[in-house]
Amino acid sequence: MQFTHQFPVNAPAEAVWKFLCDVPQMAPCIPGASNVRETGPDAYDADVTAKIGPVTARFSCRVTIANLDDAERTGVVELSGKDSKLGGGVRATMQMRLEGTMPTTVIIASDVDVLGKIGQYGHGMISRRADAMLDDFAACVQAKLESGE
Amino acid sequence: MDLMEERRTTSYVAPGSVAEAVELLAASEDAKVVGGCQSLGVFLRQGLIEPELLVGLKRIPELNEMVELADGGLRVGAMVTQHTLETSPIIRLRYPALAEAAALIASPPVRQQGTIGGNLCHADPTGDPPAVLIALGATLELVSSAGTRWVPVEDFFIDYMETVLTPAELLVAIHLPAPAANSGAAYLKHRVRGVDTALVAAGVAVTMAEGGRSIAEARIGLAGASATPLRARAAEQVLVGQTLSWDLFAEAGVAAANESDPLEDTEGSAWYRSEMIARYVHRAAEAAMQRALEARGG
Repeated sequence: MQFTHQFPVNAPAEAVWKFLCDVPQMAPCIPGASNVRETGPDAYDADVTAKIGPVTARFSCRVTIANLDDAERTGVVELSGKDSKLGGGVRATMQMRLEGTMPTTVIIASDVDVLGKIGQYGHGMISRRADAMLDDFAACVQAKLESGE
Repeated sequence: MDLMEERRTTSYVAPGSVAEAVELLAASEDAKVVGGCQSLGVFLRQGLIEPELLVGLKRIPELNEMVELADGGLRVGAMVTQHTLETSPIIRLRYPALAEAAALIASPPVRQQGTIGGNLCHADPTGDPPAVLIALGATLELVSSAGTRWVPVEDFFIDYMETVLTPAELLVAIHLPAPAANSGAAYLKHRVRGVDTALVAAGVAVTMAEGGRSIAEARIGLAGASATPLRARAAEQVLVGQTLSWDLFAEAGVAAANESDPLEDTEGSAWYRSEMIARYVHRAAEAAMQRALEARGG
């Protein structure tokens, strides 16, 4: 599944970029994410919980950040997670870039695969839930940066 | 190793009364109610959910009953099976659209076990009973230890497979109002294979104005039209107060498609589902109208 989301943040591009690249600071904005641990340079482990109807998936995720270009303000986040209990997983590649400043437009192009049993169940809902998660993420980033936190 | 991760033990209890059942639900942090175990069973077998407690309803006789009400309506117990709805003389006579919808659910073995209450609580947006019950104006009776409340069926569903039921609440019955004079209802379903849930489906009920050729009341329920079963209120408004014409039902179909927001999956795109909603509402409205005219003897 491929989606592109974009949202404006009323803050300088430099501050937005710094925030997005600072994983421990940015992670609380990811809906359902917890227990973020740094495992190496630009590599993290995290738990991500997502609920669709009566089913709750708990993914143990490995996150790496690649191709960070501070000058162009582009980068790629690779995420792979599995829920060994339910039997299934998620693989996502998110290309991030910024455009303009004050407001800065954040553009995230995602390619997401949901695998195994979780992918079979409720698959019509997965893209809709992913949209909602991105909306929540955008609202959180805006709230943090626009209030000057 | 994580593949061998410990699985929880699930206990099963079968209380003998509604009062006992709601007490058990209130006392548990993580209980699920089991009716005929046709929908929940799939989730349990696949390990998608692991509740601490299953509360089975098979030993509560009143939940299997259908009772005629003083106002001419019918109270259908939550444990009445789809097979009973399909074959019951009183349902076939007074609510033929419900019998037809029940007959289109999955396969005979599933209909023998599956219950109307279980189907509603599963809240699959492509299930058959919600759409037809919306058209028929059904109300659901929900009981907890705090008391009873009644919810119109279209307000029961709040998100994908989620309902207004609290964890301590039990759906005990479905109330069907008496069919109005000069009224008719129909249910039509579009699916890939016979045993499938709906790609889209439409339940339509219309009541003719007395003596005239205009529509006094209309109710439309849709399956496969959104993340929840949907009442197509804009499409209903296209019909109400209008004189019968060839174009009217097609217009209602287009209105229903416009107010839908179908999910997309490998069996059908959102665009395709919208197109089919327009056509199935159109045809179901014509069929309902035919029945209303027959009821009036015209």
